[in-house]
Amino acid sequence: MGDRPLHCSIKNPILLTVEDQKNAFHSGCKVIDVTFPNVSSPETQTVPISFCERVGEICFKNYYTAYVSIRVKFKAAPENGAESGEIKWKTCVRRMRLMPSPHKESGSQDYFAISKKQFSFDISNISAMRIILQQPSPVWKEFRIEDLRLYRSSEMLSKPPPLPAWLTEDSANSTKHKLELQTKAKEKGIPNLESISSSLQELWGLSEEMAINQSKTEIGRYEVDGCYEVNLLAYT
Amino acid sequence: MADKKKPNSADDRPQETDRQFLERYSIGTLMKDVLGKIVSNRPKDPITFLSDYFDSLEDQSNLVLKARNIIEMTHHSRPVFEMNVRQAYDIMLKQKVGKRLYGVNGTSYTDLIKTLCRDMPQPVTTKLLKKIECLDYEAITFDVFKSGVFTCCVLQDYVKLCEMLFNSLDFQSSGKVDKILSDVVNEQLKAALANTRTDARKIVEAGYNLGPDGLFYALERGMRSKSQLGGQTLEQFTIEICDAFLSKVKFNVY
Repeated sequence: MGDRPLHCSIKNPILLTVEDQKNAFHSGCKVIDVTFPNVSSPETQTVPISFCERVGEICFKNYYTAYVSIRVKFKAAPENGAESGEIKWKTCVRRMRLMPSPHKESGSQDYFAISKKQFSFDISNISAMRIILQQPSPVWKEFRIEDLRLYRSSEMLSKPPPLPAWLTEDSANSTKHKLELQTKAKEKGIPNLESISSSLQELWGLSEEMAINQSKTEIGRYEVDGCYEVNLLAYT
Repeated sequence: MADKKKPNSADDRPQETDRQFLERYSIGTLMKDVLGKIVSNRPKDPITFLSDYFDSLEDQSNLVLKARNIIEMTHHSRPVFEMNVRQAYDIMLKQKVGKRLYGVNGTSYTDLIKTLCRDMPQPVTTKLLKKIECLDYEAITFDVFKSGVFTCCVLQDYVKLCEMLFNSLDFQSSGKVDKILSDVVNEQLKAALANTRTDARKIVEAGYNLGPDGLFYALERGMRSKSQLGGQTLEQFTIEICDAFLSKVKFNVY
């Protein structure tokens, strides 16, 4: 992934509960609020609002979450004369199953990347995002997602970086290649490429060998009776 | 005149057996030493080794030379080398440094380094000393001694290799190498040495750059640039290539 993740502030997950004096229970549902850096738009209000242009991919590492849903809030579009438009929350990803069986281990610590294809609609111009985690099984003490990152675009489209030269030289050791290289070299006026190359490699080897065996012990230049005495240094 | 006193002859002394004669000059110990050294050092040319050893026995007075001869008995890659270095250090410990003070100080250490490097161009020795030198009055521990001596021995090999490389690059056997080629080669070597030792990918890259393929492309690029920078002699070439080596030598830790 060459793209750097989008800047956003991810709040701690909040456990949703239905509080009642008699019936307090673990609902198994958590919400993570994601807001974006504030952008003040000059033409509307002076109050800066959280805003994100586009989200192409959402990546995270699962930790025992069974289902995940994503809802996005669109930028409030001001109507003529009104101060703010309607705030809409739309569900972008509806109850995506992360663990095939909520009681069992599979999928519990997997890495997931939700791409554009899995979104119900293209996420653009949003002001906030909510990620809803659900874990109906009482077996797990704790569930969450880790290392959540949002990317602007799906990275599948960009080409992978070209391989370095030393990796693509698959026929480097074949005799035919060697002969070709030698004739090419002779044409250029380099009669003994092999011996130059092997000498250079030996020089490299010698230098590395020497570097490894350098002494790390101290000479004790500034040692005075085993301690570093600043006052004594000043007198000399 | 039958009673003429016989002149001084060997008969004056009581008849010595062969054994006593040998013991008088401690030839036995001498031979034992030499045989022991030959077996542990396994020189490529034992006869030369023997003659050098007996020559060096005359330099008994100069501790530094004695130490040097011991160090040069075997190649630095063999395990016996470390024992020889320890022996050399022990010999130099007998050096008198001050009143009733014996040991290896900066002066004798520097002398030893200089004599080990006697076959190298002077600028190389100066640069090396700048890195590993110790002040004259400082006491040298065995670790520092060993590291300095080892560096010198490896540098000796390095300088010999430089000469071989010079002859390979000297395509027309003119005694001089094109400065362009020398620069290209130097650059490749420095790039390889600059890489950190632990990064596997960089090591493979460096290996490729110094192999025939990478080297060919680099040399071709160099030769394409038509600028004429003149030639370099062996000494100049050696000095430049040794720069790459010396860059890996660490300064003495305080």
